[in-house]
Amino acid sequence: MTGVSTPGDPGLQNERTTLAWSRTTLSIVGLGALAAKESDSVVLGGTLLLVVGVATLAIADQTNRRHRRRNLRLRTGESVDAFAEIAITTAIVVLLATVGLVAGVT
Amino acid sequence: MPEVGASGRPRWRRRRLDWARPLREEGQEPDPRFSFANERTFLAWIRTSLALIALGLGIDSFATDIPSWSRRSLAGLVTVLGGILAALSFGRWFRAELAMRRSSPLPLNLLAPLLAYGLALMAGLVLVIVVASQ
Repeated sequence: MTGVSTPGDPGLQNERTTLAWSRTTLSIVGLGALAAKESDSVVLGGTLLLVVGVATLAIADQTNRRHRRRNLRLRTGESVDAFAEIAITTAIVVLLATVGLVAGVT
Repeated sequence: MPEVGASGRPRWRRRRLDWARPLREEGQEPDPRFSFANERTFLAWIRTSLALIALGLGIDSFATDIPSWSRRSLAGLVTVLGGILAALSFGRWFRAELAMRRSSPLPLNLLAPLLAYGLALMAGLVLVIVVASQ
């Protein structure tokens, strides 16, 4: 069986999920850019842009690797969940909400 | 087949820190399609949160012709709603994953009612603002 590339992705679920990650990452970047643009303070805006930019690059890189890792795991029958990425994404969005709230109040 | 180490797990797997051990040691591996679907649901909730946060930002920046108190309260409500939904969506994902592993029914969660009533509250607030500005 070596050398044969099996689809290994029943119902293209892995691909759909990776695309969902791409959409979400894009939305995070968009929001970060909007927040940076609308912030009154240049320091806050610049920092926000930097943080979101770096975080997004990291997520995008991880998304790519995860996609390949999962194709592998689907064949070995191992777990396909993305606990760490999901936790980090939650943290980033909550952080954005907090920053938005604080920036609005002050 | 991946090369297996002494512990019986593939070598490339052991190198990574296993964040998800509390999850992975519970029950048995669900059908991967369900895990994927669970994850996509999480991401959909996150995008909803992001939309709400962006809305709050937009209201704060652009709704300048209404009094400051109303603009801030509306923007604040929308942003807080977005933040809470994001935080809760992680819990939903985790409990759903756990339930799938245990082959037990998926737990109910606050997310949908929170979103629905939150939006209704927003609509009410907008109504109050519009009436008050007459």
